[in-house]
Amino acid sequence: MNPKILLFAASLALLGQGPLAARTWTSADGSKTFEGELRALSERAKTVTVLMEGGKLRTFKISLLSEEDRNFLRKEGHKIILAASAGKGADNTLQEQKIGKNLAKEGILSKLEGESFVGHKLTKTPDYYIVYFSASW
Amino acid sequence: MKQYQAEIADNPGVEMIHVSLDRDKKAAETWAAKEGFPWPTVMMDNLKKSGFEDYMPRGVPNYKLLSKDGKIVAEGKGEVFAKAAELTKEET
Repeated sequence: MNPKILLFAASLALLGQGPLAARTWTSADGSKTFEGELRALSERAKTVTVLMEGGKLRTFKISLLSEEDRNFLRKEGHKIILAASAGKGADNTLQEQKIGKNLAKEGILSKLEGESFVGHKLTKTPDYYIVYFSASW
Repeated sequence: MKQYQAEIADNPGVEMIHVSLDRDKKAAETWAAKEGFPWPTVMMDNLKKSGFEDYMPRGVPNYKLLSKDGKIVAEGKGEVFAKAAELTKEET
């Protein structure tokens, strides 16, 4: 872990920016490159989600990326995402959404912990919401 | 629940929000604990503030897929999950 990189990432995230997450990505065979910001990593699904230049989120298999990109994700990926999350980057993005801004209000969401509901904040900044209306009766 | 874990939990492009229409919070909590609900929940007393009052169904259970700007993209469990998968599918 490089503390200087972490500190820099956290500082930029606090400003609501994400330049450290922005980079030129290269395909595994080196034939294609694209610009985008790292937004999410899933170790379980072995995927990475990137915000493309045009504003669209794309999720790729990590194996489709170059070795350099895979090393970057392994070493820095989670640190950058955590730093951005701590810097309320997600909140800023949610505030721009009709749906997200309501859900980001204090006390609106809860989530089960053990046997009880506790306050919850969204960690994702999704483009879509599945709303499931139901009741115990 | 399995569908949520497989298709939604790790998908950054979509989140599932449970809107509990139980007026009795304890009943909602007991039910959620029994079933082990893993998703974020809006309780009945927060319905108006959440903005979901505008999307109230005639009956439950009811699933709607909303875009981040509030448009209804799909309705009904099968259509909602299929459309969510289509709109947020991985590049291969």
